Amino acid sequence: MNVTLNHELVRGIVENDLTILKRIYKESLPEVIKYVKRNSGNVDDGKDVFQEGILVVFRKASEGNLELTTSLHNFLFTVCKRIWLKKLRKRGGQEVPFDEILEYSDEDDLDAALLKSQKWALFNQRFMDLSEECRQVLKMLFNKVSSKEIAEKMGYTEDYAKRKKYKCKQSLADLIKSDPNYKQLTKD
Amino acid sequence: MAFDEEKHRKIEDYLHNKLRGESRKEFEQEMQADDQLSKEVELHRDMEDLLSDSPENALRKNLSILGKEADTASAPKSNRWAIAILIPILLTMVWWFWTGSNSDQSPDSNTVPQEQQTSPAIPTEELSPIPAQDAPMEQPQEEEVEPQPTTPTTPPPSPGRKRGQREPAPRAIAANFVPNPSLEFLIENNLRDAEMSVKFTMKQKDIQLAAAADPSPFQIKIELQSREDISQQDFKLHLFSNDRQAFDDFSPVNTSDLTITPIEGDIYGIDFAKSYTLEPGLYYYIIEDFSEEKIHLVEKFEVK
Repeated sequence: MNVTLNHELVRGIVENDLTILKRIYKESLPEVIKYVKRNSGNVDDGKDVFQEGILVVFRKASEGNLELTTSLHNFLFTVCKRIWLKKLRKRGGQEVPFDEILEYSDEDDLDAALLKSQKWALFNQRFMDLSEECRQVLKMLFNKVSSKEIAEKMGYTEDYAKRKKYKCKQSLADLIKSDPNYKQLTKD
Repeated sequence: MAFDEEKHRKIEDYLHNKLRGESRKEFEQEMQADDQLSKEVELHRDMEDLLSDSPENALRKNLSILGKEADTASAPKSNRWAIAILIPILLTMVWWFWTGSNSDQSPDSNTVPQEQQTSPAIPTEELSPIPAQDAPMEQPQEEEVEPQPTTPTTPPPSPGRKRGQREPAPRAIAANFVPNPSLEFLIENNLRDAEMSVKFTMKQKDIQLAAAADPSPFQIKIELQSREDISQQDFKLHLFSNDRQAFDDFSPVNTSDLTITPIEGDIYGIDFAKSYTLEPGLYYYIIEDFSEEKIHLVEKFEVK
């Protein structure tokens, strides 16, 4: 295990360093896709799983809980296998084609992480359905920009900025709630 | 059920911890009794969490793009790598033509050593040599760097230098300030795009550091004109040192997301400011449409 390389790759993930991320994709994604394809999945499943795997590393490293005893490549591959197993089980009705039983100690965390990723994709899709003006207002709102600053940047009065915030947020909430996938995600 | 503006404000205050004491308890009791309100609060929490520019969301965005890029990994549509490959070839050709047009200045031009005819010296090394530390640079001997031109051609434009004039003696340049020929080439031949015009309204000027560890404030403003809506395009700014290998490997010092703001009609703007910690040296910045892997603009500045 090359500790320096591991450290550099993890740093690249935590700092969202595109050069490092590209390298990780290039070196590790093909193996994950190959594995997923061998086990009832397709290329897109492999990519989704790989993305989740990197996010697991990101969260663990950001919280200071990442202890690598092997190369990042191997760790990522193991995490991706577990995620794929989880997804296969969730699909239901499909026999999981593994001989080994993989224990995942952060089972609940993984469930929450997978749900979060599905919501992220859906919310971003619906966000793009809003007008450009609403997207700008909400971007500022979600990044904790005050109504006063929103008013200044958009050329509104402060009262109008508050009303606009409400209307745009309501529009987005309605778009999300009417999406059948959201209903599916939140039915439990 | 649609929640009114007042309720939205209350949800926002609750999520931002502005609702305190009794009011907070009352609201929590209300949520327990009202499943719809409880779900609405969760939705608002998710919207703020998932649509903010948090580090995790920024990473998700990049991973999502990289995942899409991986589709075309076997047949890349990128022109960036093609440019990276073409630049040394073009530079070699320019250098051949350049030196070839001046070959009549060399008394030994017809007696070039055999090894140089078959293996010409790397031109960029001769045009911008990197001295060892701050040692004065030796002037290259012209006859030693002149391969035979293989194709008759006209010399490239050379303002201020006429055919037959001697190459001015290169001045000593510290290694950190030696121009990167590939990036200089891109600046000289700034890429043209029929679909989009890109121009600076404010360039980064050279930065004078008062102390070595001082931050380097960086700001540029760019105006883009495009028939297509580009407000959601994924533009990035890559900052490179003058290190050739770093550019050849496309390993920038830093990469930042750029926000494109519609200005009017088909005009869009980028206003980007960031503080870097940079060693003295020559730096280049590249504006790239990341999803298309297309370089739109290259410029440089010095940190002194």
